[in-house]
Amino acid sequence: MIKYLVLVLIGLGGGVTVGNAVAAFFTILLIMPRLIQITDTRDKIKIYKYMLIISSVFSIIIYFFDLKLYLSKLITVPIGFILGIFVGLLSSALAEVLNVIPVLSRKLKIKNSLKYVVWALLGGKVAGSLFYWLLLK
Amino acid sequence: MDKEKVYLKINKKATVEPDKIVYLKDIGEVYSTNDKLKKDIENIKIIDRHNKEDWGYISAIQIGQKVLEKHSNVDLELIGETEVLLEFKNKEEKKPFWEFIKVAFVCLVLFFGGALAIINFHEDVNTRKTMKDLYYFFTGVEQENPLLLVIPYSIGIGFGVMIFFSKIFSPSLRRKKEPGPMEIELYQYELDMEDTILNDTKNNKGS
Repeated sequence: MIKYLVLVLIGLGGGVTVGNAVAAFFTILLIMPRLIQITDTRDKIKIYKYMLIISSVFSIIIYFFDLKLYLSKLITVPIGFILGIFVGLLSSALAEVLNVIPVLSRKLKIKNSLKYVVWALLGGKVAGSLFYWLLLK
Repeated sequence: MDKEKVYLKINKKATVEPDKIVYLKDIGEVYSTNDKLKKDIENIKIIDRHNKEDWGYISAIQIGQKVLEKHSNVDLELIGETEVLLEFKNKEEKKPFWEFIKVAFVCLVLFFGGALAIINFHEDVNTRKTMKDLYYFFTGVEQENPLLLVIPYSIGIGFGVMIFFSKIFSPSLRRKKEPGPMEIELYQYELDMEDTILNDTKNNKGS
């Protein structure tokens, strides 16, 4: 009996730690603030918060249980697109990208051409991803 | 006779051409009710010709001293910064071809760098398995490479990057003027750099 109690405690402790880490990850990255700024929905921040909590629980259910929905294959198209948007935001929000571009633009004095630079970055990411899925095995 | 009140607002940074004498009006603003006095003070010489591109620095106290040497009968009020960073910089001539080369270089680096980064990221977090699991969850079919899921995903990445960096699309001018993360980061970087240069120049003068 006591064995199970200890296991439950360990699981709970680990879960709290990981949950905190996920929340911290989302807060530190600029993804949520940026989306809120774009949509101008600062007052709806509570909904977004609950959404994150629901999504964490949902993802755990998918991960640990053998569930399937038997939906049409086409449903994966919009889902893939949305997943991609998130990863695009994530990879741009990582501090490295945001720090490299100012340094490069300053060193080479190309402040006025930054939009091309961003497009190059964007194209590179899409090309890299397509390359990974279609050609790399 | 009463002393005339003169307000002197000093800028944080001034960009001046190296082959010109720096006057007070180049590094700040003067206000006084006496127009002639204002003109006089604006044309006080602060620094001589420098003759080469460089960074310099002058403190508000030194500026105040120069003003009081010329006009001892003014009541000087300093507002604004306590020191100015001076950037001696020649007028830039446009070199469109060189600019193009530089932009092309940065674009190439970022294109291939971005591609490498996203591939590394996929390998790192084992996206292949995640995508397979997700495809299985939604459709109930085990598929090794679910193209129907991952091609829209790849296009979505592009949209995500665009959403992150692009300016806001809105009819409101107020919303359009909000800067993106890149503009903020650029500005922050420049501020930090100027601060560091100011600090370095100060320390070098002391030793």
